[in-house]
Amino acid sequence: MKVAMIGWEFPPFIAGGLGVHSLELTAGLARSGVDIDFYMPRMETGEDQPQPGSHHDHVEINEVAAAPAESPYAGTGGSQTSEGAGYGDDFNQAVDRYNDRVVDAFDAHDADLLHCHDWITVPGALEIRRRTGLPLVFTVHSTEYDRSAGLDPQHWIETIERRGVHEAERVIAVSEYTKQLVEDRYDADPDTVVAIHNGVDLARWDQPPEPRTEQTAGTVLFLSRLVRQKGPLFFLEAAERVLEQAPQARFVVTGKGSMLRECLEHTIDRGIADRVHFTGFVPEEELAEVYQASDVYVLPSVSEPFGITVLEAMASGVPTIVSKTSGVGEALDHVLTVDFWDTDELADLILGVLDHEPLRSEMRTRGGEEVRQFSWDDTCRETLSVYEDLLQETPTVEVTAR
Amino acid sequence: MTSICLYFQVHQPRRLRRIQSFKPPTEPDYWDAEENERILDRAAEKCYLPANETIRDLIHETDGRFKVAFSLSGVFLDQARRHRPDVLASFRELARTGNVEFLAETYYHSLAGLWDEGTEFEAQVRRHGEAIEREFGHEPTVFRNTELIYDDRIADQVDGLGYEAILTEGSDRLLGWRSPNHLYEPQSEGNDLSVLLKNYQLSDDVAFRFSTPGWSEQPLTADKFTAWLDETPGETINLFMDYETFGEHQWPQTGIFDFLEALPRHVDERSGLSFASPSELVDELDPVGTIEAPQAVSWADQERDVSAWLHNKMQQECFAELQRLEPLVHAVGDRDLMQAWRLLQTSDHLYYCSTKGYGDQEIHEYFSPYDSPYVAYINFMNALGDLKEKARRRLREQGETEIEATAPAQAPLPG
Repeated sequence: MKVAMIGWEFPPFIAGGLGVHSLELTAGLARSGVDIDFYMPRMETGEDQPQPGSHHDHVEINEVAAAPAESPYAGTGGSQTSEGAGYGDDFNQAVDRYNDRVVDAFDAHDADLLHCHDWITVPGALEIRRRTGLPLVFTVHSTEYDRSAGLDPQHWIETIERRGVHEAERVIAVSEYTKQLVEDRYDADPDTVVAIHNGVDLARWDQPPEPRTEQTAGTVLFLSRLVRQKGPLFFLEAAERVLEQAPQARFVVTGKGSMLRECLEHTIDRGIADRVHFTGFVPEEELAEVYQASDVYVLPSVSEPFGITVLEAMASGVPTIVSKTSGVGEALDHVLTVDFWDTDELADLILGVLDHEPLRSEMRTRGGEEVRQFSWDDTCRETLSVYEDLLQETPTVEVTAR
Repeated sequence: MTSICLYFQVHQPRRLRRIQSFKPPTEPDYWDAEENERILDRAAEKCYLPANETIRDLIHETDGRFKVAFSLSGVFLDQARRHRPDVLASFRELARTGNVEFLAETYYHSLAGLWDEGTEFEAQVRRHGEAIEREFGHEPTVFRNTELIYDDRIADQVDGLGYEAILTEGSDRLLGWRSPNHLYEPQSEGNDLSVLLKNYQLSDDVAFRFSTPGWSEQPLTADKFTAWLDETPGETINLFMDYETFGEHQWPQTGIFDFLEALPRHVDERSGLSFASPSELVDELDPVGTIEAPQAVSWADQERDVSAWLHNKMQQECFAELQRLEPLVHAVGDRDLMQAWRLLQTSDHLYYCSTKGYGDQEIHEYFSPYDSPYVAYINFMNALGDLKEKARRRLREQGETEIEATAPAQAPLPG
């Protein structure tokens, strides 16, 4: 089987779950004997940048220029939302150009099907489908609703997502939560939408905990982009509440995003700046240490299609509190869940975890066991099933000349 | 002649409302009154009232050959008295038939029997005995501990309190190859108790498997069940279960009420079977052997031990902290605080914190008002922490030297 895959992120150029997913999915599929041509934008930021594909030889990477001297990864680390400061039209243009160039650069190479990831790749994918007759699988990693936190979703993006959902032969959603969203907001045909969970690379996170010093007692971690979708202000409001009861607690905010300044100012206004430490963007290789140094991880997202970081935290032995409007939460017993807006409840849960070693111990142990259910092998296997299912239905196509 | 001894547990905990640690209530009023009333109403309509009526009718129809035993926890009595006096009236009516026996237990349906020290167990048992006497006119002579928890020490304590008999689970650990269908006695010298052991196979056929899809014996008719009873060797078949089996755990559409209604008639038809109350068994039968229970048994979960309430560290911490507060609560001498501390001892609170795996976990979740055992723990510890704080403050106001509980205050932050 050969799959032509159109993506947007691939390590080391990643901003979030999409890149990790792309790596793990392609690696797993390749192990199952699937050939993959992977299309992605070319990173234009400098001469010494590592090349994708140089680390990953299981997949044929085709880099497609997104735009001359314009990198879709500039600024907020590849934000997929047009909320990115200074993006606006530049970002939209970069997306348009990428899609045009993918279509031009596309070479079917005996591909049996197309697989595209998120709305950014949909226009190009649909055009390629039209030209080649290849069936299309569209993975929805997030929707505009998620990314806009329900406020002001951009209609033109929603239109693209709706088209993708309706015209693709199959839609993969990263959770039941996302599947439901896609069915509710885009009237997707439930029979064509499959929920397949992301996995986690356990070996990477399962390390012995770092020895603690006095200063690191009671550390609460926020590790997400600083954008409205991820609920950073809810985190900070809860932090303030927690600090009233536990002034020695410490809050770590990692990540970059358009709300960084707002968050910083918030901590200053509320007089908690000395207890909230903004680390900026943490490179991949240092993430494990960040988790290990934490006593509780909080994902207070307004709407989170999956939430791989939750699995990473659990695999690192960190008790975790997750928003109820998240995909990953639906499958987990050994986390605490909370309504993102209920900052009092979030504060009380944080205090509960910080105050009680028996609770931390139990969540650590049970969470560590539970997270083993999430394997990329399963994700790949289930994705392969979708491919096989689809190919059984679809008559063999003559790939028309471009 | 084989006796059939039916015993039903009646209990409702005082469930907690959500207590956040930074919003302490002004009074130690930790209870979700609305939810507790709603659940009591539901249990009353679906179980207590219709089942009591059925039993009353059966007693009349059989001219008193049908007999049952109940235990009503003090926590249930309080709530019924306040919110559903009609349910209590219905139990009193049953008491008046003379065919219904009421058993003793700890007033607060607590795990105080497992405490190493202190007088709490005795205090709760006495209080319960008095309450039953006030309510139904006679003092209980037969005892059952919370969730049938039993070990050698509990047996000795209960004997010391003057009871004639105690009920517990006919667990394989206690019996080995022996049958639960006889009376036994505790192994310790001078302990005069008779021990009645639940026949778990036959009891669970009714209480659990009755409507389990795919069970090979479905439908379990009274006719078939009585035939099994008749074929069962032994002197007594002890069928012990939660009263809510009738109408709540097993819904009416399963036929559970029809089963109950038909049972006495089928038993009557068989000359080798008759109903007996626990006291009658104690009078009529002699123990055939001794049982040893260095480790506690119970009727809960697959293990039938105390792991349902104490298997994980969170539960163990709750259990330990409750005990640690005993000297403080007594020193303060405040009735409301004492009452709150005792209501927090109800075993259900620890049950909700269980994190066992599949099978038992589903049953725990069915009963739990919480989304997760972790929230159950945080909420419970917030309530207990608030109680401790209030007790300490009262003590300071009283000008007493602070009595330090036997362990330090809340665990320090990690690090």
